[in-house]
Amino acid sequence: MNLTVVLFAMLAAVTAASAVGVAASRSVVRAAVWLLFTLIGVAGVYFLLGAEFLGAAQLIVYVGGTMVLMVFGVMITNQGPFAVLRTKPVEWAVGGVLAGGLFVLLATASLNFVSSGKTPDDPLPGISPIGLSFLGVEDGGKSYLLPFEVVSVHLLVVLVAAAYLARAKRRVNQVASGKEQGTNKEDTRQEQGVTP
Amino acid sequence: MTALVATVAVFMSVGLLFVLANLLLGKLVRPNRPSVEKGEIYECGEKPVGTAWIQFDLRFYVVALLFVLFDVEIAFFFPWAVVFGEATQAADAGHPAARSFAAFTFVEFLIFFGILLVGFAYLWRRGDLEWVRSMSNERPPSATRGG
Repeated sequence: MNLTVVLFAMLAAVTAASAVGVAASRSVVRAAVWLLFTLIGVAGVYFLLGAEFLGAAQLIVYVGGTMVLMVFGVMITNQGPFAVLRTKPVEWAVGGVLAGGLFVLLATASLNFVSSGKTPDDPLPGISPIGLSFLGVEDGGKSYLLPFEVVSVHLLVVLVAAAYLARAKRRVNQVASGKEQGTNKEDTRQEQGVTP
Repeated sequence: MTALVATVAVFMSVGLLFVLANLLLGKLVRPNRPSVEKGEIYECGEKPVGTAWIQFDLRFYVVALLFVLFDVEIAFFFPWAVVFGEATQAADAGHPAARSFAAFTFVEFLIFFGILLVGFAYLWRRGDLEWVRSMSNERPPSATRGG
């Protein structure tokens, strides 16, 4: 039992317990807060593995960004203080079977890993190899320049599609008032902006 | 990295212990005299109007989405910035090849960011980022009072 194993056990316990909390909590807000701890635990595992850039990105993107999105989603959809998620027994059964299957799969896969012989305290390669492969410098025969540029197109598609969907929903909600106010799009948009 | 995680773990457990110990100490020391007034939302005596559980405007979500998308870009910009910085440093130290490599990476970065700016321009052009003024300015003063 060295320190790394102890720390991994702690992080894994926190992550797994919070994940169970996400599934078991009945309130959406509480599930979101449990998810926060799960994501932080995963970031801790990344740090423990020596992937400090991945851990930092996990903290910034998931803990900082995606959680904001989820909390906004809760604020926008939640209509009452006690909006309770009721899970049917069938759903518990299906979810349990799926989770068990995934656990068996992951456990078998990770037990079959061949150790690379590196320990977490080995010197780290740093971020520049990632950046160099992003920018098309072939170091070891792998260049990710095209995926790097494709990712930007992907992000663009996501951005435009999300904005389009959000706007479409808003218009459906406001069809009645929009007709009364005239069909001018600008007018409709102005009316919809009323803060509740 | 084990030392880093161990430091964070020690820091968090000490912080947790500190909060819990103080709460426990306060619970042991303080007198327990609850009253209706103490349970009110605002201590100054202001009566709350309505409930806090209202549906927020959907455009908060669009702005949050925009934030997350530009947040994701850190995973791509940060490695680029490190490489660009190292190349510029090497160029300043007197390697002429590093100068052209830095320029090359900068062009790649501009292509990446330019594609994303198309989406930003789309949102801007379609008015998703315009924060519509509140209607309370247009109501008569009697209607806004009490709200």
